[in-house]
Amino acid sequence: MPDLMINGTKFTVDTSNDVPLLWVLRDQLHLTGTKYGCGMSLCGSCNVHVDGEIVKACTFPASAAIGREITTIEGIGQTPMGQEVQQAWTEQNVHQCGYCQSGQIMSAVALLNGNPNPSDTDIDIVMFGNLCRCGMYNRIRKAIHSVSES
Amino acid sequence: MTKVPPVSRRSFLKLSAAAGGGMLAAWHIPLTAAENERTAVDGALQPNAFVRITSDNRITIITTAAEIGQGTLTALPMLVAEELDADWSLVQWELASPTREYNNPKTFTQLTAGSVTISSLYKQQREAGAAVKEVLIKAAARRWGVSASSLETELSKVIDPRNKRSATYGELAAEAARISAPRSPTLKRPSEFTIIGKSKVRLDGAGKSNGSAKYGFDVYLPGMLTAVVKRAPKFGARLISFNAADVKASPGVVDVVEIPSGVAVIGTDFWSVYQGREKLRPVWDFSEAAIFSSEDQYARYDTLMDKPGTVRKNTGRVALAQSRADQKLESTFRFPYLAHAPMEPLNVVIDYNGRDCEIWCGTQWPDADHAAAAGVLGLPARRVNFHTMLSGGGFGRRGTMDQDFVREAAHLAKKVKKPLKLVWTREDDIKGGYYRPSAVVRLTGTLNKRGEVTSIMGRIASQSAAIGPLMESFIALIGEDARTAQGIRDIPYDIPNLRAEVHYEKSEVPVNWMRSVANSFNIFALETFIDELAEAAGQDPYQFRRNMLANNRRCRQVLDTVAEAANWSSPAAAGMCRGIALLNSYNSYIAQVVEASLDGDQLNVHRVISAVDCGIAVNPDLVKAQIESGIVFGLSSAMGKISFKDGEVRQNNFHDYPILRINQTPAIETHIIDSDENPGGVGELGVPCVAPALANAMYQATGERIKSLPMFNQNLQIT
Repeated sequence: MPDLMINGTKFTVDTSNDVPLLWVLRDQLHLTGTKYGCGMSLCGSCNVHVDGEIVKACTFPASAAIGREITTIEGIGQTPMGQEVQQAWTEQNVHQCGYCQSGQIMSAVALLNGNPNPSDTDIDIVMFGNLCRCGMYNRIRKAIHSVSES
Repeated sequence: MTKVPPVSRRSFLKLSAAAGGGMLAAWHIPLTAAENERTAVDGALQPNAFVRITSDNRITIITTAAEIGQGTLTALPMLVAEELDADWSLVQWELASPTREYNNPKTFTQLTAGSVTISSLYKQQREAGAAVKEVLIKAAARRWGVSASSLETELSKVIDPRNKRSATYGELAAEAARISAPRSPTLKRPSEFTIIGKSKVRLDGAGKSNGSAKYGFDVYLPGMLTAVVKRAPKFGARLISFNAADVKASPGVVDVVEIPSGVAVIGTDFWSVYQGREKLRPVWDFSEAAIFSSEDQYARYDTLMDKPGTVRKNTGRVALAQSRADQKLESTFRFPYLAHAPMEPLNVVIDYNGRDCEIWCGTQWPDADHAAAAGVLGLPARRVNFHTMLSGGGFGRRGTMDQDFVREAAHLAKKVKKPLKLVWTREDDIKGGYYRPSAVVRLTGTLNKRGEVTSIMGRIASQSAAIGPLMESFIALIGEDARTAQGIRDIPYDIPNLRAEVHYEKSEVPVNWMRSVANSFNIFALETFIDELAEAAGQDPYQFRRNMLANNRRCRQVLDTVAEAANWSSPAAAGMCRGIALLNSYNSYIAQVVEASLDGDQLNVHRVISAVDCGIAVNPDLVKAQIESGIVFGLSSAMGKISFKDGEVRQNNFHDYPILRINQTPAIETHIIDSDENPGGVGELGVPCVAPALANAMYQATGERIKSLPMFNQNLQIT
């Protein structure tokens, strides 16, 4: 039973059977902000950070995260950038159903951490991996720009 | 004040039993003073089913329509808060239980569909707020011994301007709870609105930003098991056998259970049952299954185009107009099945112990689900406690005519009798049916010498989204237009001779309404066909439409507004093509112009401009969000398809059932017409026009009419 470091806290979990990180977060730890959308790295609803990098938790083996820093939507608000992005999302009415938005926010925070002033093309390259069935893409773009400008 | 039952099943039932059922009955009827003995509990005021004010000054609006993303949890509270003169910063939401007092007054059910939430609840919700305000004013008048008419309200306070004193609603709640609420309170005039018409931030936004918002998928109960179901690979197939032993030996699998829809694998967690299901090796009997290909179906529907169907509209004399026409045009269009594919796959949490049952589910039809589960379990409805959760999208899939996913969960619970979560994978969702039906539509139109349209005849072959013509008519009575001829039978243009016929087709493939229902295909056919007629008449597509709208001021206005915003009177920019389309549905009006450019097989949709008249826009920014959402949904529908080969769905997941991504999304500009008319619907309004407007634009670039969807394929990709 190895430990995983998630949002700064150590959790003892079962990583056997190649269980993806997503299902450890959800079914073992009930950290439900990270969502299941496709199970094939196609939609980004499950995006989390592992050592600050975007990882699609639905296909990322939990065992590969041992000894690394995992951040989820529940923890990202503890960073100044995470807090700003979450606030921008709320203020711009980015959400509709909101189910994909945890993953969108995790992608946006990683993008802005690496590039505080992303161009539209920079945004496309990173946010391309996140589907929004409600189609709030233009608001996502606007919210990211609003964080750059603030 | 009536006690609001606690949410947990056991305590709820204990309370009901203690009250000998009286508690429950009280909960089922409107909570008015005349019918209920009201005693203040914890200083709370709940004079009707929709508003609760607690002594801490918090105002909870109990929302009767499901939140599937459209903004219900913000817009409905805005209606109440406006008339209540509430301090908006103190307002919070709560999703209603599926009990009768929360039925929509127009549809007599809690179905969230048909873009009717705001239009049908506009008066009821405002009256709820206004009634509470009057009660609070009376309470203050009694406290201070002044006349109610001398008092004012503002920001959750009753103010006595003459004596320079005030009391918060929270302070007055306990006293107000002893006063009867008026049945017909006075409502504000639109000019007095301070909340309605303002772009408020979504009340569910913050929770959806930090991951704390709870969807059905996020419910975990102590000792809860997870289940996935292996369903037949062809609709109508029957299970013969499966390999239970291997599955049960799989780590984490607890049981394998046969239910009507297939075989359920039950275990400790999703990953275990997902892997266990792979070992099932089921054997199916396909003798009664639908074995067909999409091409076969189109060919069969094509043959129906030459045969008369059920008449759904007939004004004037189309045959006579056709015989006298100067020009006659005919076009046939083909539309595939489509999957709703909400981001949150279907799921149901159900806890049935053999005696009573508790369910948590993101759904568009909680009362029907509640009744369906009770029916499957053989329980009286009062022994089933149902919690409507946030939905990660719906688009119609969470409101099927037969409550398929809740029924399935109930069948499973009946056998397992343990708390469990039934989960559909994305593949289960894409392959699982309840699709937007496929359709073939033929339009025949005639022009006279002056280039005026003298007749339009539409013939549609499709499965009905609402079982059949009888059910379509019944559902139309309660406000949801599930009619297969929708969009053609209610064409907004002045067409002297109009006829719509439908061939209602049957198939083992289950279908259901999808966002904008039959408008999603009929408006594509109609609005591209109108461009064909305009070309035959030698007229500009905008002017041609406008000339047929002499009797429809609001349609004219959106058309004129969008034409002006798009600078239609000037030629399109070099290399750019553009198209226009119009829709009047859901008591709302929209005209759209799409600007695009084509570079080889790469299509770039640059901009979609919309003019929208939805009457009073309760929350203009959320109206805009819905139009943006509809546009992306409409473009996604133009690039995806569910197709069949030998009766099997060929698509699996988002790689072969694509939906639009951020880089493909055009700039979107939405103009809302200022209006004092009662609100219409906007949830579906943005969907139908964007694809035909785009097709009309592409014709300008290619000279080819698009008559078969999806319009994007290997030869044409959207960038």
